[in-house]
Amino acid sequence: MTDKKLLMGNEAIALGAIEAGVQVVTGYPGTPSTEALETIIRYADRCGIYTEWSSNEKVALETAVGAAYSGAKALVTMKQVGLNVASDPLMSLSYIGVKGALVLLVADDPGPHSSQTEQDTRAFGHFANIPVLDPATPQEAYEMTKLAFELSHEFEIPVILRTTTRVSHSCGDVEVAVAEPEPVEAVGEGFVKDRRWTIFPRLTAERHPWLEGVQEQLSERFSELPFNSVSGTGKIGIIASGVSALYVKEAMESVRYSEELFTLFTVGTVYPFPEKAALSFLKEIDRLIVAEELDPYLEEQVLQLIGKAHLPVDVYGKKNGFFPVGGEYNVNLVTDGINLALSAFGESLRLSSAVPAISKEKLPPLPVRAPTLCAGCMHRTVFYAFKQAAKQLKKETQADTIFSGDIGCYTLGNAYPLNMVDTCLCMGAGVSIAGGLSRTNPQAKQVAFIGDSTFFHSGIPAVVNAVYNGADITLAVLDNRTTAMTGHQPHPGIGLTALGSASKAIEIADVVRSCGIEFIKTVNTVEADSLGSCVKAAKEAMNFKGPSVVVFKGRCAGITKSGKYYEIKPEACTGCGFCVKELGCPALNLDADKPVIQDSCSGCGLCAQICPSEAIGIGGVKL
Amino acid sequence: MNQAEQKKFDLLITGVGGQGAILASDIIGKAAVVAGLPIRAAETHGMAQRGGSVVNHIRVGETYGSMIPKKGADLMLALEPMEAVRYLDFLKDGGVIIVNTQPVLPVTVTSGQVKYPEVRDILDALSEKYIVKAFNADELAFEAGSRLAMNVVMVGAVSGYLPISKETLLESVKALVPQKTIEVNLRAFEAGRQKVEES
Repeated sequence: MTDKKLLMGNEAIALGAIEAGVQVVTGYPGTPSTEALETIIRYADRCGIYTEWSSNEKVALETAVGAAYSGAKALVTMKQVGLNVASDPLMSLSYIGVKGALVLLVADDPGPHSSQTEQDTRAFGHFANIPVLDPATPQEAYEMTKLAFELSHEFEIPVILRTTTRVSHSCGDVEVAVAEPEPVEAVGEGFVKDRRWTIFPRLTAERHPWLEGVQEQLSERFSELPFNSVSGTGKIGIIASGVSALYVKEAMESVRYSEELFTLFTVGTVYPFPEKAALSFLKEIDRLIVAEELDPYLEEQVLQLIGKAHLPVDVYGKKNGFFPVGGEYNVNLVTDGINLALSAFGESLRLSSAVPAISKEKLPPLPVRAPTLCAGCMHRTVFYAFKQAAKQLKKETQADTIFSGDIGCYTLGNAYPLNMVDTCLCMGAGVSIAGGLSRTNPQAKQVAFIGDSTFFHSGIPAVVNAVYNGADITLAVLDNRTTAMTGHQPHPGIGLTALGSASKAIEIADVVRSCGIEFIKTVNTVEADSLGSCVKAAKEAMNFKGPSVVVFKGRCAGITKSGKYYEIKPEACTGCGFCVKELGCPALNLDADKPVIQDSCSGCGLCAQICPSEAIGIGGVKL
Repeated sequence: MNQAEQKKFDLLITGVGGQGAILASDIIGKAAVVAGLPIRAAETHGMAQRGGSVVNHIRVGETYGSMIPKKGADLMLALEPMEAVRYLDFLKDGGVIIVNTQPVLPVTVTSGQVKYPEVRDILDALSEKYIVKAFNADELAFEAGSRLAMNVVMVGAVSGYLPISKETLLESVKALVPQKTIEVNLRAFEAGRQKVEES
């Protein structure tokens, strides 16, 4: 029985996958992809689906591959940079293929909102010879998920369902085929031994022509699918995919009879490019506008096709400056691009565009509101401790300290007044970068910060390398017992699986000990007088010659409260403002030049430990 | 204007990460589905939620994208005064702004780098071109039983403008807030609705 629900794109994908009969789902959290696996976890028991948060995206993909080799239907979820981590197995897998079905949800992040790159998974699919579906709405995401499983099974090839932030994190009314997810049918005969599962140069050489043949078959199939559609009869063509196609449709609403002026080709199955459908569209138009976020992927596809078929069509897109190369698109930006193209080919018509009602000068200047470490966050205590330790070492030995950061909430330690992140590149990079810096800056101390989940994701090989090659670095592990930034998922260190059942908790100190680290300290940051012991451990580690590790154990203020709050004793406070200026804690505020502690205090007690007048104390109990 | 056109309503919810803008947006979204109206909503997740500026787009009766074009929003629900100003470009001329007057100070202000503008100045500037309904929603939530219900006060405040019945919205509140806070949230909704009806 069909039902209409309000679903976020990621939830719609989860329901689509369950309906398609997915049996094994793996992934690593990453904005904007996380909620897809979280939703499947909610139905896992009831529907009989195996789910796991894997230690990283490569491991997640390989686990799903094992399931698909056995004839099962598998899904693996990640954000776009996660695909880089998983790219090694993926590139080989395209030659081997799969048996059951294997779908990758990869969420791109134009803008970017929460990512370190603006890479385009459509182009990645092209590079890896793996089909890519590009939905525009939660409804399409739901339907294309089911299509992805069908195609993967039929063509025995992994399929990428590529979303962007405005698909994954948009909500919409979605019509689903079954009102409540039902148990999935366990299919698959189990693993059958065959030489096809063992990659060798000879097998790759044999499979390469097959792989190229599949691309052609898929391109033919895609040309017939309703996800690629043509509307309008005008001589000005527009091609778009994903959410950009919706922006084009909305922009065109501002002119009457737009269907007589424009022909819109919406591409839902972006790779392999549906050449046949595109060709019949291109033959009916004189000029072509390309509206797409991220890479000029469609633009390159149509330019090739126009060249190959010798068509007299001029193309207006990113490559000749009509649309911005980067950033997230919207209706206004697409309107401006189309208008620019219209003016370039001498059309008098314009789509209507908006002008702000109030000039900016009339409005009060706005302070920047950047994301910040939460009040009571343990990372602030550790950053502040290293700042003090580095200051002391500078005084004693003149040595500077370079602080390498990593990916997670603690990247926010870069902000004023902490200023404690000098480098940040990708998951797990801080440890190895510190090693490299130590070779070229021998006079400076090297400290790398890494979160607990990131440590398990990709920090361990870097620790092994530091030991093997004798890098003189200090690794500070910020162990807040959760994957905080993406919404508090469990990880290998905390003794809970994705479903919340007990598992073996892997101790980070044990891991680095077995890697050969000789200086290991574990410090508890939860106690209200922990700053002193944090500074002491930091300094000892930095003074140690060779690789050293300090594991700072605490809790995430976002999920665990201390149960108390602090307040300022007005009679003792001199109004020096030291607490406010040193810590940048959002609970501390200067009101009429006197510090006050606001409601958001979660009772870590860091400010009480640094107050020169001992004017801060426990105010009471907070539930 | 046909019936579908009349039911089109673009709403922008602005605020600070942690104030509950996503729940407010989900309450309205779920109610729209129950009312049989198409809905599109864009939410801010991820890094910005750590105390950063957030904006949610809610488009009742919309079948295209979830992002409201500039000067497209009929109404802006600002959970924080400064965040009303930040996204003003999205509001149509003469549009309505319902604003919670309780500031949430960013670290750039608390650490003394810059001053927070006077709330009075913000409201005066906004009132020049828009219809402004301003009140302290944090206090109303506190009176209703919990400061955490501020987002639901604001949903109550906008409820009279939405093409969705009050009853449907209340059902949605009940379905989405934690079980033990239903009473507090229903009071919060009424307090917000009444505040705007009176003004």
